[in-house]
Amino acid sequence: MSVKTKEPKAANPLVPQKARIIKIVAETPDVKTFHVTTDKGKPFTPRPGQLAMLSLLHIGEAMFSIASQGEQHLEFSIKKTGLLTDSLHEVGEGQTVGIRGPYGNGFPLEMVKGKDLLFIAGGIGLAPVRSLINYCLKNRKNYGSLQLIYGSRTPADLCFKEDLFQVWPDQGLEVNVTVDKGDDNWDGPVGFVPAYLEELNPEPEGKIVILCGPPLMIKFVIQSLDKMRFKHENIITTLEKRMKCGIGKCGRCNIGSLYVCLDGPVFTLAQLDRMPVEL
Amino acid sequence: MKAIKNLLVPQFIDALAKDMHLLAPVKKGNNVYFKTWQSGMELEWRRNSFLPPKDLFFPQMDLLYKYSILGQNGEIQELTQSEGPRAIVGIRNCDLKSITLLDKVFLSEGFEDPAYRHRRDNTVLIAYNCSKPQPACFCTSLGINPQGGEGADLVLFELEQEDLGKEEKFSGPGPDYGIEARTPKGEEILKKQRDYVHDTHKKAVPFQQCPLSFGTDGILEKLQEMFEHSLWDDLSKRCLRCGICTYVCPTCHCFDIQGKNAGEEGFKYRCWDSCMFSDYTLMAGGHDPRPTRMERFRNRFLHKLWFYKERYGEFLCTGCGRCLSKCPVHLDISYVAGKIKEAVVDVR
Repeated sequence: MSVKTKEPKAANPLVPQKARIIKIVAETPDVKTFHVTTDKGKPFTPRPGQLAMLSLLHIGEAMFSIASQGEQHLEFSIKKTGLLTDSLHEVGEGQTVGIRGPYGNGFPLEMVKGKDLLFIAGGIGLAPVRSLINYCLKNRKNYGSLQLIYGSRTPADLCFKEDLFQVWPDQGLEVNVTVDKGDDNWDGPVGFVPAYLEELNPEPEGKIVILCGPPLMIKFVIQSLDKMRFKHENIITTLEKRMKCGIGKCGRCNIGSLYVCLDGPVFTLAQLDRMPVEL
Repeated sequence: MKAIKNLLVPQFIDALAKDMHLLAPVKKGNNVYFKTWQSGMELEWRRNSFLPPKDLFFPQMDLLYKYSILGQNGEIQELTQSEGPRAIVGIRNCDLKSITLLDKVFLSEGFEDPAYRHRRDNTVLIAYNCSKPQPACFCTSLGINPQGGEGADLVLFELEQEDLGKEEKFSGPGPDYGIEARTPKGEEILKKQRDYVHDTHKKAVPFQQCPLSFGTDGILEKLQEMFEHSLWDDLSKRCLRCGICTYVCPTCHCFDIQGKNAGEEGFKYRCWDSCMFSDYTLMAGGHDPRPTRMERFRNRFLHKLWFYKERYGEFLCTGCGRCLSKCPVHLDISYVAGKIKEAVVDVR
């Protein structure tokens, strides 16, 4: 077999384009937001909730949700949690990375248009939700009430603090934040997200819930939403799985006959109820 | 009908090999492998190759790109395949079918795999239609016609021998082979090699029944009620998680992407993976949606008999029987399908 190199455009969907980290923001002790662009500008223009494969060439590649985007860059908010993410937390601005995408279905923009939206997120689960929040706030008049219920372990672990406490409330998002455990400077609510949700007791009528967080939080939030009589077709969640190809071929991210990378990551709870789910 | 004399078959293959890279099932030790044909090799197409010809389209390792990294700066350079035209002779219908099943994975859903596409477009398929099944064969259970030659450019098949004396039949050269073109590519080859071909009135040897069978009627619908069934626990206890079933399967296509660093350079490659392995779905941070062998085992059989069919319209099995003869604990798909059929489902 002879192998030759080909330039310049990658024809193989598994080959990333060269990109660069141009800005790094430390969100929490273990979450950083990376701004990524290429020599030709934004690598691609994703829809809210879509994914991208990001790689450090000599370390590895993994799928991340695209937390937000600007005119010229994409943003990834990444928690330090394994081989690749540990290394990402060590690199500086200017680092070359590989990027390919966008992948996945993204949030159902038609379905949420004109509705009251309730975002519920825990920890780093706010990252994918942020892409939709920013989109809705940019098009604020297209939506009814917008509310976020967000929780993290401690005040220090809250992601996107500037968004939470300044930007978003100014732009018309009601933000409700709770922490599992407070500290000396925290005078907000303390407690888990499901309990806080039940305390706030939002009205289910005409409302769509966008839910993302750790599996255990999702489980208990769903129980609370059931109690409050939210319909499963009005609850949207975004899933994560180990992925290698991102294009529905390598096999591992399936839920039944669907691939989370291709058919997801966004599903309604009603869809998941009909599927053989291994979460 | 056109035919090739038995004794001319090696010369016919030699002639084909002059024009292109030719691969054929040949004996090596006690097994049969698809190898690059060299004059004088011993052709063996009456039994299945040890490994399917899957790796000729979807190699165990496929280079994707190379990279360099110097300080913060890196470069990426795609690597593409540039193999010339090839022909594979002696593909049996089970393996032929597996290629059309792999096509649905690698050439669909808006993302085409260019290396797979290149190899498919540059490969002539010359099928061997079976007349005699092997002890582990059950292709007919999956709706495959072992003499159909579907998807092939040319098909070869055994012809009935004239009524010779018993002794002569034993010591004679063996049967002649009928040959039929199925595509323009096949016609072209047949025309070019017409010196090896003659007209005949002999008939093709009919197919004897597969020794094994399992009913697929209603199995998908039944499985949809069996996701939480105790059967998966019971059966998977025996599984050694060796992965041989996925290794020898002509339709298993799961892959991983890995890299190798060499100083400031390195390359990425795609390589076979197996859903039976413990790190297959393990996520960073330690969470695993399929944490035990039960979930992995269940997923493999549901993929074959439910998920793939729901997505692409067919079962992901061709009845080639390789998992039957290779699984060390006899947890092959025909056995599992039989247990699914026997299982009692609670109707709530």
